[in-house]
Amino acid sequence: MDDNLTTLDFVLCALPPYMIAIEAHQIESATHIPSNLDKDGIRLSDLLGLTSSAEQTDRYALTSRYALPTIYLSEEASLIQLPIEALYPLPELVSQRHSLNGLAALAQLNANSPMILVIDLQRCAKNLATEEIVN
Amino acid sequence: MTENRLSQALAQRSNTATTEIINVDQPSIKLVIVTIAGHCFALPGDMIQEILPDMPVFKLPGCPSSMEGVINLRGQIESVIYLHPLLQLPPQDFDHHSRILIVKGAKMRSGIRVNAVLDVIDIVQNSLASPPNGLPEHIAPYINAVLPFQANTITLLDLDKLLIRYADGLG
Repeated sequence: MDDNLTTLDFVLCALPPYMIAIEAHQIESATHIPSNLDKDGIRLSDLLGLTSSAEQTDRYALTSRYALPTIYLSEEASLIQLPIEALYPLPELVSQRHSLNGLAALAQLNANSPMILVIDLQRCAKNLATEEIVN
Repeated sequence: MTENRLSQALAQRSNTATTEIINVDQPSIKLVIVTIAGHCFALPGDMIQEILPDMPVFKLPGCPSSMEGVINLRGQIESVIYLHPLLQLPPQDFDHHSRILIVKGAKMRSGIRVNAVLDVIDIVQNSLASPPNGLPEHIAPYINAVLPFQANTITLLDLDKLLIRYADGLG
């Protein structure tokens, strides 16, 4: 554990109208999807449990370090560094009531900037595994 | 003659004073009077930490419709919930009169959206009466008392219970 933690690296993905941040160390690779690749992965919106727009075209792919299928994105992901002051734990009622798979925290750079949903892919993988066991 | 008038004035003053005396030893409580979906409610003032003007609320996906979203209040993220679904009141548009009250209960805190804040009053506890029998089943558990307010009788909501039930899935 780093005692002098001041920033964390995130992969930032646009999922209009939301912005999604995933800790960079949880991502193994981020690439364009080759046109001949079978799409056996999962859209980020579907992974999170959001209703996805049918019109979107998947152009990019993320692979994670966890037991998750390839994650497809319609917008290119970028790498950002967030100061830890910009990270916020979820309010208790949000923790209790939200159904977004893997939502771990919120981030906001300043009061006027958009809120970013911080997703923990490890938690996503655990939830998916639990769902598969139940089903 | 003068002495009589003075006595009369003093007696009159004394009577007036007697009727105006308020027993300050009686315990009083602070209440915030709000409107939610056209209904007037009292909220316990000791649980209301702040009354905020209408401000942008960030909508969170995957949350029930009874949760408006979150706000960043001076570096602390607070949830904002609607009370009308919990009280089974019809939805209503919120205009510039609407407010967000930051509520701190025994176990959790949240912002709650109300249509308007009408008043903040101090009231002697004796003015509170037990809720009448026959209240609708969905609302009765959340009413602590009733009290007079501007020629009407309004209900004092149990915010603690509402927040706990909300966390458990109510609304």
